[in-house]
Amino acid sequence: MTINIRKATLVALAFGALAGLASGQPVPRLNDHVPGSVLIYPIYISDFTNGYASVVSVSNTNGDRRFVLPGNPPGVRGDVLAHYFWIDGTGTWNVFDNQALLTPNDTRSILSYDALNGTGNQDFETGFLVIEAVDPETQESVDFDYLIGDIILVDIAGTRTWNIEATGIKALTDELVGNPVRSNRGHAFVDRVANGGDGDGNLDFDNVEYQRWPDVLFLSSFFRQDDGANGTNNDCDVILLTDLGRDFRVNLQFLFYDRDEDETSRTGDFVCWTRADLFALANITATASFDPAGWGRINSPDAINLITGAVVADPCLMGAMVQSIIGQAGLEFGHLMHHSGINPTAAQFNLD
Amino acid sequence: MTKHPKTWGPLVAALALLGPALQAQPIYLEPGSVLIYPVVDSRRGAGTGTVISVTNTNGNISIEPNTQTPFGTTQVRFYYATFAGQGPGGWQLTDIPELLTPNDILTVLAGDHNPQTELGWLFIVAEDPETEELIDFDYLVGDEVVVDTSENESVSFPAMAFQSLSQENNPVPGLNARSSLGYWFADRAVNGGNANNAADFNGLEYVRWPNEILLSSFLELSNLTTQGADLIFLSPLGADFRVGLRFLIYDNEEDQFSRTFTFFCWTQVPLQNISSVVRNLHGGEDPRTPPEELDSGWMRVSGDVAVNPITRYLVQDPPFVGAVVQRVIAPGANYEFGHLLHHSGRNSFNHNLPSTPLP
Repeated sequence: MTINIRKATLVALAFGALAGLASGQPVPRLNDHVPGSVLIYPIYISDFTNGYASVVSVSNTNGDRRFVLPGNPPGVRGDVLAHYFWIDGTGTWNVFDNQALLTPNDTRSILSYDALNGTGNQDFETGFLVIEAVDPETQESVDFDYLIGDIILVDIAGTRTWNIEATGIKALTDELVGNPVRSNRGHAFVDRVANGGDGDGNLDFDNVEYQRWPDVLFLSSFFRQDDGANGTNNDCDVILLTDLGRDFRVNLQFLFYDRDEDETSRTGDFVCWTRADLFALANITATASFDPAGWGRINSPDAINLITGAVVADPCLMGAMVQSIIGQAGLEFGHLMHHSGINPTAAQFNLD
Repeated sequence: MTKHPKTWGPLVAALALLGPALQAQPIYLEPGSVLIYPVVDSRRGAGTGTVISVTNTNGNISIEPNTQTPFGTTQVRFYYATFAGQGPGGWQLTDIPELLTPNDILTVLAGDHNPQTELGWLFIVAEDPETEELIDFDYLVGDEVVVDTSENESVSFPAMAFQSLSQENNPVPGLNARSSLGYWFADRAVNGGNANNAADFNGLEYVRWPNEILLSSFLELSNLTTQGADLIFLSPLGADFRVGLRFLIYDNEEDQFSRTFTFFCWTQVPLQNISSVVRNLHGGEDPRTPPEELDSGWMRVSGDVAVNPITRYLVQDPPFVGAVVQRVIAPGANYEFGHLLHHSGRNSFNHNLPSTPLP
């Protein structure tokens, strides 16, 4: 009898563990370099007048060419509609959206100018871009963890360029829901209430619809901001974005460490999106101790709604960094920021 | 006696399934215990240099009373893998230990730090400063900048971080499981390691390597400008293995082209050397369709088989990782840019760094 109880308990535990898998506990942490259903490009520049341009690429790594019947429009299971949301980073949070069908194994590389300014828009010179996988038939969000992308940022006048990966964020419907409602192409609807979504039409990064964002960002290294005395002038810009839109001032906490591991704490803030000189944003003037390099930690304690005064604790951030040697053609380089942890606050893009 | 395995079987099976779900793949941009830098280029004659940074994000400055060492201290061992040509013996390792105190950053010019390596790649492992054994110290981040001043070109990569799983796999540490500073020994048998003095990427000591590498986009070679992409691949299998890769290349019309390629140890190879399809990514369509798109493609790369040409020992699905550098040379200007390659899946081969010799 004892053995039977133990066996029953263990079998129950085993099935519990399997059910845990099906119910998504634990959910995988954000991994920028694997395919996702949402891609976030932390920066685009589309300012041909001043010699700046971006080449945005997105690829569909799903190669399933089986026909879909029924289907409207007719297509194959590996089709997906890439919904582009271009967010103006100059504080307006204006959103321009367009769509493109990606067939199986398709790639699409465009000049941001063609997508934005070429259509008559005079805004959207810079900001960030979100691409969402949606069903071509219903135009609803789908769990389609097959998208990868990158962006090339070109400064034609300065003959500089750099290139970063888009961060891939997985939809979790397939991982969390045993038998989800699916599109005719076979992909689970992310936002539907029947699948655990909240049906609000937004992108919810809540570990239910999509993965949560990181908790802390790292600047793995930055060079000393040279004053030009050595014939060079180093520049380090940070690029930060949030989901909170134009009404929230996001407060930042910086912890910098120099070559002697001395810690310097600073605060800063931004609205919506920013590309800013690191030391100006953090109000640091003495940089000699960061020689040859220092590193930093960035998080946000809260964000304040500038109109209502509402406070959001632990707002979500993503970021990248780019460094350059001013006056030296070609020497510009950057990458996505490192990160750790899972933000306790769910991010949400309301991009209507 | 026979009831024991029957009783525990379902639980073991379920936990075995649950384990990999915790972390199936390396998360390159989270802190890790092993860092991989895909290229080190110190060919001074060509005007190039590589700046390497490694940062200890552990800020625990409390002092361990016996050793008088801050708890957040680690030793990092640089292993420079020098590329010595495409053939057996094409990899020589040079190791250099360095101490990182809490919140420390070390930035070196690779050519000064290790003058023996002109071209190759680098990995860094976290060790206990007292015993010099491998530890689960998932606090390291890093990056590198490769500069060519003669051509005014530069490219930066974050280091690829690989996390140790010793602590996650042994939440209740056994006797002698942890260092005096409190970190799980990654290689010790008490923690499920195989005690071979190497970092094993087997899902027990460290996360497995990816199974497949994805190049998210590359631009068509143009007649107007000289441009192209170099792929950088490295394999942990050591100096004596010729690693075979399978390429599936997709053009702007979603046509698929397959190619194979082999290398020893490390390579930086122009894309057009792998397939000439990169010169024409729009097939018979002219002009390209739709007109607002640039001609570009993407590719999927997986391990085929690695073979030791002397012993004929074979490794199916050999592990590897990579990066891409693209270049546009226009009149009066050079543009260079690159990034780490995307990946998917988990490689099933149990390999390690520094590599223990295979047959």
